[in-house]
Parts: sequence; structure tokens; C-alpha cells
Amino acid sequence: MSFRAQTIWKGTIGLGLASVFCRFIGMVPRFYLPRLIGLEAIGLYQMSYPLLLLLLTLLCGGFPMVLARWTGQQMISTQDAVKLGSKWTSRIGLGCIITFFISVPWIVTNLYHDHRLIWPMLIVPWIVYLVMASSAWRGLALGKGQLTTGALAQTAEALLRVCISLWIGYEFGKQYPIEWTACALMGSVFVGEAASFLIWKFKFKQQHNQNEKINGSSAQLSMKKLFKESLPFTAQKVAGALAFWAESIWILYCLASFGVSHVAILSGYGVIQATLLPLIMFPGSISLSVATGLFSAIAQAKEDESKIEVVRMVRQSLAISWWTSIPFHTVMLLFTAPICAAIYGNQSYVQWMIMLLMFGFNVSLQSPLQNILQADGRASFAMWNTITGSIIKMMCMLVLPKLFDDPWIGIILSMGIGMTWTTACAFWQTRGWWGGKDIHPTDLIKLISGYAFLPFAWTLTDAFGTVYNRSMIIILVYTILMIVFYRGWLKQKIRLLKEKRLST
Amino acid sequence: MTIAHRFPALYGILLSVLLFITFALTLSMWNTWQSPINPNGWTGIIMHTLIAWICGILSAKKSQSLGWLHGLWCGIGYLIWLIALRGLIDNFDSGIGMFGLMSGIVIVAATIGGIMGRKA
Repeated sequence: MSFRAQTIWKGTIGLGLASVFCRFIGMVPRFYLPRLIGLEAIGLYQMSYPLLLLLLTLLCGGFPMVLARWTGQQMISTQDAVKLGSKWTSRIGLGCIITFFISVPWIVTNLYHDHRLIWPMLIVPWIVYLVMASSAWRGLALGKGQLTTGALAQTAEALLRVCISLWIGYEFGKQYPIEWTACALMGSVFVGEAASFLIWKFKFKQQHNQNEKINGSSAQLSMKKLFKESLPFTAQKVAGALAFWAESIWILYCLASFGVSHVAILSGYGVIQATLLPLIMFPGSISLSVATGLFSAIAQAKEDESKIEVVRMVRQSLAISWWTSIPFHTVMLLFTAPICAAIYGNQSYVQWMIMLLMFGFNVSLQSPLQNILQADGRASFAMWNTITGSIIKMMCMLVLPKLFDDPWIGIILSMGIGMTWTTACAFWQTRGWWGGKDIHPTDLIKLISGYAFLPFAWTLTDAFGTVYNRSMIIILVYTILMIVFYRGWLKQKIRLLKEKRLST
Repeated sequence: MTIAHRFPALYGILLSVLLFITFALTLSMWNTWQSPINPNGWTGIIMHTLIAWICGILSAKKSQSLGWLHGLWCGIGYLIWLIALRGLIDNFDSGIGMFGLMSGIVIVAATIGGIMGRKA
């Protein structure tokens, strides 16, 4: 294992940097497109996105991981793995894509009730097919610990997608029907994936032309075994994608039942999914790259039964993700009004953004926690957290929009409740790894009050007028409360500092 | 030696029927928006020709020898299925002209497919 450690670390750092860079680049069209092509076109494009994600996770979520594991254990030769991948693509993939192609008019007319969605949906199967064709190479590279090609392909894909979508924004503008613009945006995703496919194709030929040794014969590894072993991997990922897809349709139905017009629903969905959620998820990419290092450490510690080192590491990574997300969200909370003015030219989405930012820290805590669960061999727990979270979210969406003047505030609040549920469950289930078993019950009360404070305070300070006043009051009260809660810990720290000073 | 290897023409006919159902389903689902595609006209002829050609190739690949014969049988079987369907739908009221043209093209396409798909 150790002789590859250097390359793995290099690849991990490269991949982390690439993902941060891609997120950063991906932000650019989110700022420019709303003004160029209008919110409704973005909403239309975002509405077709969950189905693309569902198909992608269904068809290429599981089997690259299995191929990676087999190549990691040297059970399969490169040629056989590529052959299995192409078999998978040509049989299961083609069947699923034909089924999708047959049923998409029914989905569009009877689930989304919007015939214009057929235009972006026309591009979806080709994207899925391209990703599937390159996913065998992805799995192989992952199994061999060569992550640089993946980083390169990801970066090229993001760059090309962003450039083309910006070009579409300037070229199309608002002069064409919006479904054509949405179709063209989907086409930009297709072009990006095509570029990454080409990179994989050429890089792969350079890397893997030497013969390698394998343990045992790879003749026993058939399609049936591949399917069987990839099923649990796929099931974990599909739960999230399915929930995402169901939510997009559920939001349409809920808001329509509250009397919101279809155009308003599309634009609101576009605002939340295209700009606000990626904005609050931005620090999540940092914590994700921190958490990838945790995976192998925990797996190692489970074998050696040496927990103490790992507990320190887990606490560090949790702290890093906490301290990258909280300042980011606080700064964003203070600058919501100028940001909204810059993106949309008006202040109508300030409330939504503040509402989402209050729950934002959950997202960046989720990735290390879920990595811990997966490394611990309890990946099904993460799946059930996602499922129960999305069910709670959907139930809240039935009730909460009635309580507010703007029904979207209720939708965003229920999204936040779902996120909080998922994170809190993962937090509780991994208590053995961050040393939560020897924690005092009052600490739990502090934690829960910390969680619940911001949303409640927001509704309580309704009388204080402007957004700025309310944010400042909340931050002040929060700081005072934290000092009161942690005064014992603070006193101890101060005493230690004084002793240090005296001793020197 | 599977059943497909023993009866290549039958395998081809079954496949062609499956393909036909897929095509028909796609056309009918996509007809939600009053598409200009009319399955009885030239579009239909192209579709049937494509299906017969593909299935001729596939059945000849399964056969040991005489690819063209298996392709021909495949085309004839597919044509019988089409005639039966047409009899169910409109009792041959709409004349035989276009249908006769189509049957000739289908049989020729299936035979050509059989020649192309034969093992060397």
C-alpha cells in the first residue's frame, strides 16, 4: 500500500484543488445568466437536471466503483475491465436510454405538466451515454490510484461548459423561445462531457499499454457478478438522486396548489437551484477534499483497533469544515443585499438567501460525516438519513408554505429542516468517532440550542426592521449566549494561558 | 448451441417483432404533439426496412451457413406479422399499392442484411 501512498496523496490534493476550482468557475455563469436569459429559462434547465442526475447515478453510479475495487485487489486485467465496461454500456445503458426515450413525452406531459421541457430532455440521454462510455476508465484509474487524469477531465469539462453557457447567454439572450435556450444550456453540458470523454480516451491509451499481473483468472468475473456487486453502491447513491428528482416535482405540485403561477414556480426553482444552493454549498467542496483523507485513516484504524489518533483526526476535519463554512456564511449573511442586487438587479430574493444561509453549515458538515459512516461500513445509515430527511422535507412542504406570506419561504425552511435532520442523524451515528460517547448531556443541549437558535431568532426579531439590524442583533445575542454557555471552558483556557505566561 | 443458433430465422423474427413494438411505442408516445410523422407513408417504409435489415444481419450472424436464406426467411416472417397486423387494423380497405411496394423492399432489405451479416 505504502509505495503508492505518494501518488495517492498527490492525486487527492490535485482532485481537491480541481474540485474547488471547478466550483469557483461554475459560479461565473450563475452570476451572469439570470440577467442575460431570464429566470424562467434557467428554471426550465434546472427542472430537467434532476432527471439527468437520476439517470447518471442509476447507470454509472455503481459499476465504476466495483471495477475500481477489483483493479485495486488486482483481480482483473485492464483489458477485461474495459471489455466489461463496454458490455455494460452497450447492453444495460442502451436499454435504459431507449426506455427513457420512449417514456419521456409521458413524463413531461403527465409529471411536469409542461411540454416545453421536452427540449432540454432531448439532450439528456446523449450526455448519459457519453458519461457511461468513459466511466469504465474512471473506475480503472480510481483503482490504480491515478487521480490526475480525473482532475484534468473535470477541469476541462467545467471550463468548456462555463465558456459555452456564457456564449449562449450572450448570443441567445432573450430573443428566442426559452425552451431553445434551455436546450442550448443542456447542450453546453453535453459538449463539456464530450471533452472529458476525449481526454479519458487519449490519456487512457498513454497510461495503460503495459502488461500487468493479476491474481487468479478474470474469466469468473462476469456481467452478472458486476451487476450484483454494484447494486449496493448504486442503491446508496440512487436514494439521494431519487429524492432530488421527487422534490423537484413535489415543489411544482405544492406551489401550484398554493396558487403560485407556473412561470413563478419555474423562476423560483431556477433561483434556488441555480444560484442560492450552489452559493451556500461552496465551502462544502473544501470540506469534501478534507474528508477524502479521512476515509483510508478510519479504514486503517478499524483494522488496528487504535481509535485515539483517529478521533483527533476526525475532530480536526470536522473543525476545519466548521471553520471554513461559518465565516463564509456569516459574511454572506451580511452581504446578501448587495449580492442579490448584483445578480438579479433587485432585492426580491434577499429573504430567501438569508433563510438558506441559516442552514448552510449543515451542508459542509455532511460530507466528512458521511465519509466517516461509509468508512465505518455503515453506508446504509447514510442512505436512510437521506431518505428520512427528504420525507420530512416533503411533509414540511405541505404545511409550512401556508404560514408565510411568501410560500417560497416555507419551501426553503422545509429544505433547511430536511438538511438539519440528515446532518443531525449523521452526527449522532458517528458519535463514537468524534468522541461523543464521553460527552456530558449539557453539551448536547448547547449543541441543539446552537442549531435551533438562528431560525428562531430570525422570526423573533421580526419587529426590528431591516435585514442588517436583525443580523447584527442575532450575531450579538449569539456571541453573548456562547460566552455564557462556554464560560467554564473559557475560564480554564484563560487560566492555562496565564500559567504559561508565568512559567515563561 | 443455443436455441438462437438452432433456429436463426425464428430468432430474427422475434427480434424484429420486438424492434417493431419499440418503434411503434416511441412513435405513439411522441405523437403527443401531433408530429408530422405518419407511420403508414414513407416513414413507415423506412422504419420497416431498417428493422428487416437489422434483423437479417442478426439472424445471419447466428446461422452456420446460407446467411441470405436466413435473412430471406426472417423478412418473410416479419412480413407475415405485418400482414396479420394490417388485417386486424383496416381489413385491407386502403388498397394494396403502397403495401406491395413495402413488402418487396422489406424482403430485399432482409436478404441484403443476411448477406452482410454472414460469417466470413
